[in-house]
Amino acid sequence: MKETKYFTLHLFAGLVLFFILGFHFLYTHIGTILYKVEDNISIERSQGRDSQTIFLVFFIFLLGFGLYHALFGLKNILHELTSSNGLKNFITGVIVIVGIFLFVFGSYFSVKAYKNQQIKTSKAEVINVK
Amino acid sequence: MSNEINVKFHIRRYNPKKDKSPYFQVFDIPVSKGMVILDALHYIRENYDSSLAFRYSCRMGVCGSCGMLINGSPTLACNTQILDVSDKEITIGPLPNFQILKDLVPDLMPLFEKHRSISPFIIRDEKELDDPEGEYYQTPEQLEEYLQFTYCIKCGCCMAACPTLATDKNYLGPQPLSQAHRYNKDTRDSGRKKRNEITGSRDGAFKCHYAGECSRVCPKGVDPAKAVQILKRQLVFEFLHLIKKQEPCQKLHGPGKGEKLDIPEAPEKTV
Repeated sequence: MKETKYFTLHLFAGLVLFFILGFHFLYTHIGTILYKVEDNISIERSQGRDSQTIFLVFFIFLLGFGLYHALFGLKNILHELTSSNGLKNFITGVIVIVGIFLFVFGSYFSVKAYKNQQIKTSKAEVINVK
Repeated sequence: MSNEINVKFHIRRYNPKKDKSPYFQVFDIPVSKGMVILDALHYIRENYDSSLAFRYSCRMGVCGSCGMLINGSPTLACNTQILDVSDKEITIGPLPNFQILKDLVPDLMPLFEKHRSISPFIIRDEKELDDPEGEYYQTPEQLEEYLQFTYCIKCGCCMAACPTLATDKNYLGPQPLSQAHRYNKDTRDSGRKKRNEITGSRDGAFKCHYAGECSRVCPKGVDPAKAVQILKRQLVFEFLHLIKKQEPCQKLHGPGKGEKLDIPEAPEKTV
């Protein structure tokens, strides 16, 4: 039943990605095309989003669910190439390690960007006050 | 016979004791309307080469012994009209995804072992086995839920057509999975959770890509692909505790605690 648990989570991640990516495309790309939101993909707007806590949570969720969904699918494809249970376990192990590494790596830079933007914002506020 | 035409049969031959690899042998067979592939194989064995090995039994599409690859499609030799396939050349080989024992005879043991692993029988309380209470009533609608899957004759054609099984021999395959679904859906059965351990495992239902070849080639019209998809859905729903409780069978009558249903008596005999 373990596989049922992982597969259910895979489906759930797919569903979450549908909404998260839908929001991302609507906000960042489709909005730019359909509603002429001129600077949604500009570096300033992107940095502005980095400084907001809601977007930090959004990015980490997108990263986590995206990685799980993609790597679980990749694991299934790779498992089909071999009948050896040892090799299957090895593939699973490698994918888990790669997944954790990518998640930590991505999360670290999201948090770093968030903090940098927070510092920049607070400095700007200090200058404005002065 | 005047209506006979000659058809070339390319038969895949392989004897693991003698041959290094399989090879094709061509036989020219006089074919008349109504002849099936199995007739042609008998003709070859009686007139050309008595060493040709193939498996058959009932000759009427019931036993599932004569499954083989005919012009690239796994099907029953006794159930396939030669002229429906081709009037010029026909290629016959053993079922793929199985080891070859000799010529057209595949080793179906992996199929039977996988089939056995899903407990293909009605599971009830052990107490009930010692002290049977009576028969269990099943509505036509409840029967309809699994009826088509009972037509499986274990010929192995679906397993031979499965592209996932071709790359991963550990995958359970469409036949055992559809049979697991058949017993899960039977209202007399209470072994679903036990079967879920096997069907929901790493080599179980979730490996199916829904290519649908198993359903296309099934000579008995069973739809294993549908069974596997329903099985997947049930596994997920069961994990999420969303599955509907299966309606238990009513006891029809019995020697002890069983209650008799309100079924009208048969009319008296007139003759």
